[in-house]
Amino acid sequence: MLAIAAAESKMLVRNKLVAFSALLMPFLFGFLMINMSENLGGFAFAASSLVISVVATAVYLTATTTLASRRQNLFLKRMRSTAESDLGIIGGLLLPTVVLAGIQLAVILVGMVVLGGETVANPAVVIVAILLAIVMFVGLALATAGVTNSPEHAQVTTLPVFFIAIAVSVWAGIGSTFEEPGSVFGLVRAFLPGGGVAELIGLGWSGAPIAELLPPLGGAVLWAVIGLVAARRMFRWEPRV
Amino acid sequence: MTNTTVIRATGLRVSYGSFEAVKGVDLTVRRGEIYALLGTNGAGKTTTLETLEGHRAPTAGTVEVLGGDPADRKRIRPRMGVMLQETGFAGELTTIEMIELVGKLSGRSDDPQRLLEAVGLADKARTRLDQLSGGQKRRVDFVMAIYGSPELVFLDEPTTGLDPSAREALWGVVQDVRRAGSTIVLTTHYLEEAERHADRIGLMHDGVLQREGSLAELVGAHPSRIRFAPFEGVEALPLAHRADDELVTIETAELQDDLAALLGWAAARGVRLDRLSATSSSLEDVFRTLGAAQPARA
Repeated sequence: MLAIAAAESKMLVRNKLVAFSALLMPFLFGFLMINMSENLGGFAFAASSLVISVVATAVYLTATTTLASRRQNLFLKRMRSTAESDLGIIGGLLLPTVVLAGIQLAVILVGMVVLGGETVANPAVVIVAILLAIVMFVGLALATAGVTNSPEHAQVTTLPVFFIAIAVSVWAGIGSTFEEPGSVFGLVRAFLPGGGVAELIGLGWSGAPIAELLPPLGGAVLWAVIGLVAARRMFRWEPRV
Repeated sequence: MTNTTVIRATGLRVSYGSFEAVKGVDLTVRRGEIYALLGTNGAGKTTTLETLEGHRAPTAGTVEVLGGDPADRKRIRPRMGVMLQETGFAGELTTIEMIELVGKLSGRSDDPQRLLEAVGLADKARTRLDQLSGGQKRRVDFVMAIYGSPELVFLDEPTTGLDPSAREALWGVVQDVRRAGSTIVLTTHYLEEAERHADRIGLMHDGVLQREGSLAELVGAHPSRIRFAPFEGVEALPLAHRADDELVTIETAELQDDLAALLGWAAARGVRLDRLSATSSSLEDVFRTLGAAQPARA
């Protein structure tokens, strides 16, 4: 797995367009979200939207495009001609993007805390939410790659999940400003893709009783499971004949 | 499976949905031989090969490779090299990086520079794969298959896209690999390559292995031909023949005897045999009969 991850990292760096979008786009999102946070929901909103935006971009979009590309040029089939397991191949291909997204999130969130003078009420909840977001988007990337014929096609097939997740996270930020805690809208959002994660980060950032954390935690776990099940059912190793 | 048997497929069937690509193939490959699987387009060669490689699961029948299930990658792949019909490269990697990656993942080690020199690509070691030509990529694919001298090497159309000198050089390396002890299973559209290099040949048509054997066995069962221009009184010829406007053809399993008999008969009657030719049967002759002779299917 590590040999594939090392090769994938080299390819990421050598492809200037992909390197630019994977390395710099998340920081651009971070900058935008922090600026918007002054008018909407504060840093808790910025953090929740940021996590969804960064993971959706750096993990979901990149992983879907990478997997479609590697399948189209039969690189996946070539890897399956070796002794490496299927899990090792997928793990190796996705490890660099996941690690990169983790580092980017850590830099941005720690920067927000240090530079913004913020305190995070419950960091463990934030970390769990980020891990669940990564699992969900990795699963959805594998599933989406299953219906994506080429890297170019990924620009279309990723749109529904990407925009729904971003919209739900923004809604979560707005909701945290204008809604009462435990509102029915919050409950609905918790079970939409990305909604549980966004709610969980907002609540973990600003602090909330355990009972309030349970619905978004349930939603986030549910979508992580949906992502993995969809990946198992939809992912293909070879182009359609 | 005995020590001398490297591959054994029994009643092998492979389907894609409702389409059955391989329809009950029985096949055995012995240790140290070069086995060529030939056939018409869409005959099921690549599907058969990919099933033996462990890329596809049989719909029915059994496959045993190197004494085990070819899908058991951890156990089988370090002993098996695979050259796919189409290259599967990441263009951003260099030639040597790709070879070393596949070698490492296959659990084999070798000197990639030595292998690249053997196929005439020594100067391309540090070149990115997306800058290589199609023929050069095929040779890199070949190098990955023989990297670490595996016991068993699958080559799916190894010389397609190569110029004649590159083909010749590649076959030289194949023979070296075989001499070092590897068993080679390959498909090719170049019949003359199979004639020259294969110890045994399997001929597939429509998902069925129609004929199998050494070149001598295959062509021996196929008649040789004597041809000459028609002449007045050809009907009296004591050998079975057929005539059209262009030529008279005698098909024979005893070329030398029948040719001698024909020449003697013609000399005794003062007949001149214009455009006389005598040709032994070839693999191409056998190949041409593939569609016509459909064996009973299981």
